[in-house]
Amino acid sequence: MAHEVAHHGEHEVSIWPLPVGVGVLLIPLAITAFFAWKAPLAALLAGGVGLALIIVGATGWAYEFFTKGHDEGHGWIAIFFFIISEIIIFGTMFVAFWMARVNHAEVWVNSWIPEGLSLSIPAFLTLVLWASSFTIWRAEVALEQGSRSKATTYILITMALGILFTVMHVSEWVHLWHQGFTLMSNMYGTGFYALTGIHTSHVIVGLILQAYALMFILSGKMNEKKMTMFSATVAYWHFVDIMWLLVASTAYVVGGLHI
Amino acid sequence: MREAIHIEKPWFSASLKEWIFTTDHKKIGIMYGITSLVFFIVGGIMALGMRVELFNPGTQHVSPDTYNYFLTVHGALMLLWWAIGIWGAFANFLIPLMIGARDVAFPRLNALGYWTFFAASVIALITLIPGNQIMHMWTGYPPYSANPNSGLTALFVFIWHLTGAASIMGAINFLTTVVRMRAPGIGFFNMNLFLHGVSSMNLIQLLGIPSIAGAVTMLFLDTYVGTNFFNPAKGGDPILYQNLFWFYSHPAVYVMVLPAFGVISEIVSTFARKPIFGYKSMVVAIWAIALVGFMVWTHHMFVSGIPDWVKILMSYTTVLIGVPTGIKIFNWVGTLYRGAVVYKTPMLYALGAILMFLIGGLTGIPLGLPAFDIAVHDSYFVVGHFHYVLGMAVTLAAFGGFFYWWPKVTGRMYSEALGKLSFWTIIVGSNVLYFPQLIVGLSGMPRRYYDYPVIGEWITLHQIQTVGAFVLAFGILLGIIALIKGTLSGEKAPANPWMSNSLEWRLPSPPPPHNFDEPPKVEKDYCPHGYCKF
Amino acid sequence: MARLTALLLGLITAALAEEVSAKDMPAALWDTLNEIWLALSVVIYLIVAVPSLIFMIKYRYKRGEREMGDQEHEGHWGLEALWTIVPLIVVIYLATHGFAIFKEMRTPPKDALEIKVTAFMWGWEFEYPNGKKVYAFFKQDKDAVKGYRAQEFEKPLLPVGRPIKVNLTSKDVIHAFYLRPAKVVQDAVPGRNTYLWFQVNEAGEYWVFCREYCGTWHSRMFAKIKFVPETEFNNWLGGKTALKKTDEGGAL
Ligand code: HEA
Ligand code: HEA
Ligand code: CUA
Ligand SMILES: [Cu+2]
Repeated sequence: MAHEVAHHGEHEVSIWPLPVGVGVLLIPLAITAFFAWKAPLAALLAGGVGLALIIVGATGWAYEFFTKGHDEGHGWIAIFFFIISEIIIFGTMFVAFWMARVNHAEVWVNSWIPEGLSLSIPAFLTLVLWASSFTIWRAEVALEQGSRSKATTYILITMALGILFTVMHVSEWVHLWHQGFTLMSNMYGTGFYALTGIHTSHVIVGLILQAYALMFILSGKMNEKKMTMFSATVAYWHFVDIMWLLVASTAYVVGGLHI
Repeated sequence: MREAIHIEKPWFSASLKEWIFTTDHKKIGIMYGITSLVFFIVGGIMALGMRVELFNPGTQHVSPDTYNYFLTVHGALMLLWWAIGIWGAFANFLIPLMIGARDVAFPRLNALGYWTFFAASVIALITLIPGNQIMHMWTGYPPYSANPNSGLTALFVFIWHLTGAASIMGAINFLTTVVRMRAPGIGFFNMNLFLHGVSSMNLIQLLGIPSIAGAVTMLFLDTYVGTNFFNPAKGGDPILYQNLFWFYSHPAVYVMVLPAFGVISEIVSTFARKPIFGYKSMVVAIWAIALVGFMVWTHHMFVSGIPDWVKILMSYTTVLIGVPTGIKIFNWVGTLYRGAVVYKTPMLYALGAILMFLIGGLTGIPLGLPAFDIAVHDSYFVVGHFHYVLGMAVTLAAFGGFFYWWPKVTGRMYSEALGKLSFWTIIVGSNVLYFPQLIVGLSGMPRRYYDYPVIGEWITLHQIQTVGAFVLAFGILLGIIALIKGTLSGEKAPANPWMSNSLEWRLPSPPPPHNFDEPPKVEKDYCPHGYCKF
Repeated sequence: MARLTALLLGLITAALAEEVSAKDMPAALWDTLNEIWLALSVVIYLIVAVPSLIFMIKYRYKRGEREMGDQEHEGHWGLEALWTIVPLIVVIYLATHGFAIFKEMRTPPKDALEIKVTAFMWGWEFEYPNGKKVYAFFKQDKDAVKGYRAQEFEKPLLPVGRPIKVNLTSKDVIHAFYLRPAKVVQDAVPGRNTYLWFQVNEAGEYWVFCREYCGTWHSRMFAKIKFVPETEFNNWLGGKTALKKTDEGGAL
């Protein structure tokens, strides 16, 4: 077809958005079923089906993109817009945390800070994440130069570091929780788990994106000519790592100091 | 497979499968439009139910809980589905046409955006099932909204999350499209004003929605998990919710009105057969409104116990928004000057929207002064204010847009006589409905009351409103009939029935599936507003 | 047009006139601002509407004669500057005048009588400096459902002609205290203390409404305050007036 070149990607029909959309409906319904309707079984069912639909839909979607679509290079600007809005989501949690910290400084310092809070764990976690920022950057460079095997290795290292971070963080939570410092105990607990929790959820999303990238690099579909999606993943990961510095310094330093 | 899709057939002859799996911006736009309109009617009928209850003081037809449920859902549907959702419809259909693109930047994401919006609609419908009502108003202030009496807060939270997620997907998509996919020759200072309207809208969505998403997430955790964000006993603060809520929901009113301004600009310049007056200042005004809009949110909280200096600061920024808005109004008047004004239905709607928005805007200014607001906060004066800007200006602009682009969308002309009749019915009905709200509000009638004591003229003023509401409903019915009748039996529409210079009118009506086969080239001095010389 | 405006103005003034005596505070301050705003809005509305109507008629489409507008007429910097600067001045003036008035509204006079009002779902607890309490709250019986009535012992008394400062807080959710003739609203927020002040100069019974949505019976969360001369108020406060026991106001 003569005007094939002018095509902006694959148009008209795609069966993948709808299953993802249904998944997007089922997940809130599952949460509502669990918390409000008190029907855990229905929640499990809806949640499971919803999750499966999202995974299948997103995989099919990505596959379709890599086999049929054209890479127009818009992904980078989209992830930029998305990160802006993510920053504001974090902002709301920071506001909640800081307001309480300022308005209730006295009780906060005297009775809310748990014993077991140590700064060495967040310091170590910072090192882990920042190392992963470095390795993913190397992966991007490697892919740009067309060296897929090198890129794969670096992504695997990045993912390992990300998983290490998550596991360590979760065990830290469990430790604090058992000391009686919970989400419910006071505004420090609420703010602490909300901030670190929302951050860790972003780490997990970043890991999933990397897993997708890995899959498509290994199958050869993603390469130096078609790598906006990977650049977007990298940008997202850098964002998550930079955010960690703010999260850690607020949750541990601002929250934990006895002033 | 691919070849089959390439058959050049207009959207209305598509099969069901092509509809539900579509990624075509035109079809998605139409799907958004139908969903919004349906929910507008549902919300409108709930409003009629409220009006019937308010006809007389005392409990007559609905119980307080039902009334509160109606009011909550009326507010949420009218704002999220109608005043915001309807611009999703226009933006989808028109953005690629106006910039000369094949489709939006991410067609599949666009489809997912619609299905997310649809998921939110399903959740809104679930609240109709007994036992699942939400009864804490569209604002959902804690601590009441965390109280079990207030209904199923989870559904409220997910309505916000899902409409918000849909809007963010849309915002990312449309902003990328407008930034990256304009045809050569179309720049920042010669785009359609509608494009500026929806682009500023999408920027606001992108920056604002995360704030409300955070707020309702905290509300969910407080209600069901037992966190302390809004619990004063353990260091939380209920006012925090209000700050986060209005940080989005004030700019959100400009999300509703800036695209409306865009539509009004398109219509006024087309039917005055003249370029828009002061195009550059229009553009600057739009973006100024969008940005200053983020600095005024505490004007909804003038009596909530925040420090007085904050109120004064935000009072200045609030009234300051009147200046760029005024620029727009005066420029529209300037556009009429030395024009050749054609009175077709869309033009009537647009002119009505301007003159009615003015009343809404002028009643907004005193609300921005804490000294004035202290007496009328949460009274019917506020209700009157926002129905003038929303129920009138935005609704009239949306209907004006329907009539204006109807030939382009359906390929058929609407019924002109019925269209004009619907306009006059709506204008009369609306004013009879909304003006008494201002008066009864100034005399102290609180809002969100399903019952009221007999004071002064309150009963009369409420009865006038109820009558107006039914006249208005009839007018809207007429408008919808005029459009549907046009689709079924109207004349075939030419490509450019209004002689507009804008790009979308250079395509056949309805546009072919691929819009432009080649990226279109526009004249060197392309100006989307004005009389088409060819 | 002018007659219509006069009619509307008449309607508004009529709606506002009753129950407001001249020097009630802060209603008197509010009235000034209201008058300024009303006059300004009518003027601004006419400035926009009259030229629009004239242009709409004068420059309407005429076949063969006026088929297209003046394509060169695209803007006018002088005019555009004018309608930027004049509204700018007007709004800055309004905000500044409002600021001055607001300061007065938020500064209770030194000799104000201080009472404490605690809101709850759905009623009010009035506490006087000497510890005396009056409860006014919604009771879900037949009478209450039918209308708005308050028993004598549920009506808190306040002295006329004296500034009164109300310290507000709430036991459960957010409510708002609104005294109708005084034209002043303030939220009662759990965990926070807020205040407002007012002065009513004419004896009588006045409505207090809850102005922040607080649940099912929000629209029935009212109280009636009885404003009486100072001596009568003092007698009542000291318990000298023979009335039913006020402390158990709720028990009918
Ligand atoms: C489309 C929606 C929309 C729009 C455009 C506006 C526009 C404005 N609004 Fe409104 N508003 C709402 C929707 C909207 N509002 C809603 C829904 C609520 C209630 C929410 C709730 O509680 O449920 C609300 C509530 C609300 C409040 C809170 C009241 C309260 O709860 O106590 C305030 C207070 O400042 C306010 C102010 C304003 C102002 C100053 C403008 C300005 O932008 C208006 C500017 C326009 C003009 C001024 C007219 C044109 C100008 C000229 C011709 C120039 C000359 C003019 C002057 C010199 C003054 N609005
Ligand atoms: C875009 C926004 C929008 C629109 C268009 C409207 C439209 C209407 N509104 Fe709405 N309103 C709000 C936004 C809007 N409203 C908001 C945000 C609130 C505050 C909520 C809160 O406090 O939390 C509010 C609150 C509100 C109240 C205040 C109640 C209270 O505080 O106690 C009232 C009362 O009269 C009211 C009435 C109406 C009526 C009669 C219409 C009419 O214009 C509706 C007309 C439309 C129809 C009727 C549907 C279409 C008609 C047909 C298809 C014809 C056939 C049908 C029949 C004849 C039955 N609204
Ligand atoms: Cu208490 Cu409304
Ligand atoms: Cu606002």
